[in-house]
Amino acid sequence: MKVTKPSFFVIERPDGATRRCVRLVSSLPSVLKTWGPATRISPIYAVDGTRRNSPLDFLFPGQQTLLMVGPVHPDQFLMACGNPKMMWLGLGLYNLLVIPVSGKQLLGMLAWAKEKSIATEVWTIKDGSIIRPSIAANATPKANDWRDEIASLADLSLPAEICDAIAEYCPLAGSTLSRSRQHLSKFNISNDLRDVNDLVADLLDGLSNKVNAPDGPSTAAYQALGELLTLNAGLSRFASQTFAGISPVQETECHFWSHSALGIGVASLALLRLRRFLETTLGAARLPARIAGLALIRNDIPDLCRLKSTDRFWLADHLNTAHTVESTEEALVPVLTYYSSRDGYRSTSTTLSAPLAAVSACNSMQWSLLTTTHELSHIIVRSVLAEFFPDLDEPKQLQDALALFARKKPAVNLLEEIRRYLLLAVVGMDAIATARNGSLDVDEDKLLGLLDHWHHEVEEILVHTFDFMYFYGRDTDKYVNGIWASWGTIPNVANRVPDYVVRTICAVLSSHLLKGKEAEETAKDQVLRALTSLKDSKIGGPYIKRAIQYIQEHWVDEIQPQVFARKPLVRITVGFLFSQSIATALRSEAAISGDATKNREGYTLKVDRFEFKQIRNPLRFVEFFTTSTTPSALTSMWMMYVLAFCVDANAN
Amino acid sequence: MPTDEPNNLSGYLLEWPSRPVQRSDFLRCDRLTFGGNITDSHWETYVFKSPIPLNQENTDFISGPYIYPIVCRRSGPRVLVLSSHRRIVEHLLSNGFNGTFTPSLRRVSIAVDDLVRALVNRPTVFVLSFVHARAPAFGTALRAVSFYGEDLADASLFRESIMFFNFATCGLRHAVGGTELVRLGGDGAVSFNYSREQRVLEVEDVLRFLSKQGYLSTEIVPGSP
Repeated sequence: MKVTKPSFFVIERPDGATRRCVRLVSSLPSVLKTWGPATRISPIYAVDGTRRNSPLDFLFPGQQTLLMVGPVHPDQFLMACGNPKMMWLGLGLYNLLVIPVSGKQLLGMLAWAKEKSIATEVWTIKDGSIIRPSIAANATPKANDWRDEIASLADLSLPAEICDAIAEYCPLAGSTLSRSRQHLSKFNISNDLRDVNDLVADLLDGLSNKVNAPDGPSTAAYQALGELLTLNAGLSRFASQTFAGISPVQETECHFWSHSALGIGVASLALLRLRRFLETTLGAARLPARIAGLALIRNDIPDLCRLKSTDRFWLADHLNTAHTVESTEEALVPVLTYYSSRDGYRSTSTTLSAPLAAVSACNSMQWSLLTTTHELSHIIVRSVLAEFFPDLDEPKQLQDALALFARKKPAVNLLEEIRRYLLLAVVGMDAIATARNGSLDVDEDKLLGLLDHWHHEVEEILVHTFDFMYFYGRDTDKYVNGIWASWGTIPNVANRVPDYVVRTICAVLSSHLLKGKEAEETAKDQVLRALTSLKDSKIGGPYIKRAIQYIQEHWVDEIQPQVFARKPLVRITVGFLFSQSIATALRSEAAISGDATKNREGYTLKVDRFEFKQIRNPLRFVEFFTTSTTPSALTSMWMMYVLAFCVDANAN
Repeated sequence: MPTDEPNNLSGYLLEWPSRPVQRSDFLRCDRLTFGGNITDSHWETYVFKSPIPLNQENTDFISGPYIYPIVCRRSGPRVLVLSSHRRIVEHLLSNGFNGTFTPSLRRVSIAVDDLVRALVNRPTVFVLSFVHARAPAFGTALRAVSFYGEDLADASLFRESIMFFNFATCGLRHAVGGTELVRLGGDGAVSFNYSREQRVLEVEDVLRFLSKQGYLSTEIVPGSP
């Protein structure tokens, strides 16, 4: 199924009119010239190949019946219900707008939708005026248990600020849950939202008995408040973007104004599918618990500082063989996803956002949904670093770290040895940065200062290497294109280019560790070649030229020493954060053809063709289909449709 | 111009969502003519006349129309369509059948990855003679691998490494011996060496086995969301 050019679905109430009107127009300026307080729009695409070519401009002359139905893949709808007279696709939860051939066909469509618990709304329209909206009831929410849970949160005695936040959260969660039960029962969204509710309950646990503490609300209370506000903001955006445009369509409104009539429910589902896949693969691998299990490896612990890069120890899949240490750790993958212009690509422990621009530009490298993996990598690496780094607020842990640093032989177990190696790496990085020669006398204060100062950089190097290995499959061109194209969209970060260069080369260095002394040079040359290619393609933004120049002019005196000092961090990521078995689960795609000569790694999907073909790995799909240098709203919508409707939910 | 006598047959396993496929459906395509059945079988042969060359013919020496053999096996809504090269079938589907089959014929997915793992874990009358697989964990360092042999699952090197692979194509042969019967792709691709008429019946046995074991699926089931 192909679609033609976009047009706009316009709902408005002209001056003096008693009823709302609807029309399709191909020109946005023509709508803007008559914009009123009740006007709302959404972009839609006419389907090619229905009984008549669905027009771009349509004023609904005479008497017409408009069926809004969804969320459903158009291929499935057409297969079940036959070709209508006209049909358009959009991004709202009512993603299909249909003018049936006859009343009989309409009844068939409604019966099919009812049988499949797919929501519908029908408008009878006379000369563009909506004279009779009719809403088909969906599955009514049955269980009340979640309502009881939400109600119990509102009943807690809490510090005043938290009460305010809970007063906002509870009705928001109630509304989102009940709407998801009505419109997204097939997508199990309510389970995700129940996880959000559990998170909130955990946050509040223990705070309720401290409401009258003599010294006022505790730090923990303010931490909980911060997390609650973050959740509220994310949930509010998710609900507005997803459920705008549900019945009654005339009375809902999305704050993403270019989609204010129908919302972007399909795009929300797409992001949610990605999140679920990550949760069931990388999240389920429980990396921090596996790393904690490295403490159980006590025999034949090598001195990591002296171990050659080619030693088999670095190549072993330690995470796959380590015993998992049971813990009550929270989920590593944030539970809530949404789009945000302000937050862009951002992750917290509970939320993951992608820029709103991705809705109409995710086919391009600059606005790729794959960039969310970098944010996710931060969350995972932070959890992992909690195992490697001492808690700087705990004197005992600092003392232990100091003893580990002073130790001249391997530690007693593998986890401790990695910690020792990391401490030495931090001191090495500091020596390069301060141009210090000779050994450093380190006491507790000095160590505290060093760890505090270098924590962020250690995290960045680990994240970049982790992202490169797990999500980009060590493909240098793809990685450099991906991260530098997305950095190119951020204004005023030119002063960070040297840091970005070092991190990029460190990530790529992970592919060359076996090359010994040639490793750094090879990584540098590979990055330089990829950046030059990116510059030639003109998509990298203003920082590429600066990066190339920086590498060419300062490799020897600035970059190489920094990369060399960070090499132990790269080794730690390769040796102890990467697992071939976990990577296989994360990067597997069984729904591929065997034709190796085709692009797209064997996917048989055709860009912009809305055919229902199932895939199993949404991440690989995004990786192989986000290749354009030019954003396309149509191709982005097609990608959203594949992610929302074609990911085999049983596969993950 | 005589029809090529194909040694290799390649094409796709397809399904029509509307109803069982009939010979008359094929013959609505005016470039197809019926050529008869392969002896003692339900396999049918057709001749496809194409105005454009589809098999790398030298147009300086050979003028059109270009004639290609088409071999089919219909079974209810499913149909196997083969020719001497897969691109001929692809052309027939996208051009010759355009407007003939509405809605269009859909490829039947063959769960090759599941099939290979099952044949390794639970040997049957068929064994693996070939596999091609992606190796996703190793990134650009190692993208894909192929294995050839008379019974791959019997090799420990293969058994121990399958956890790292996504199988996209496989070849099957009888466990008792003989040459490769058929090669299967996840996207419904089917090919085999048409060395003798009996071969089509052996391929039919393989397809029946795949269907019975649940390795065939069409993604559009009428009436299901």
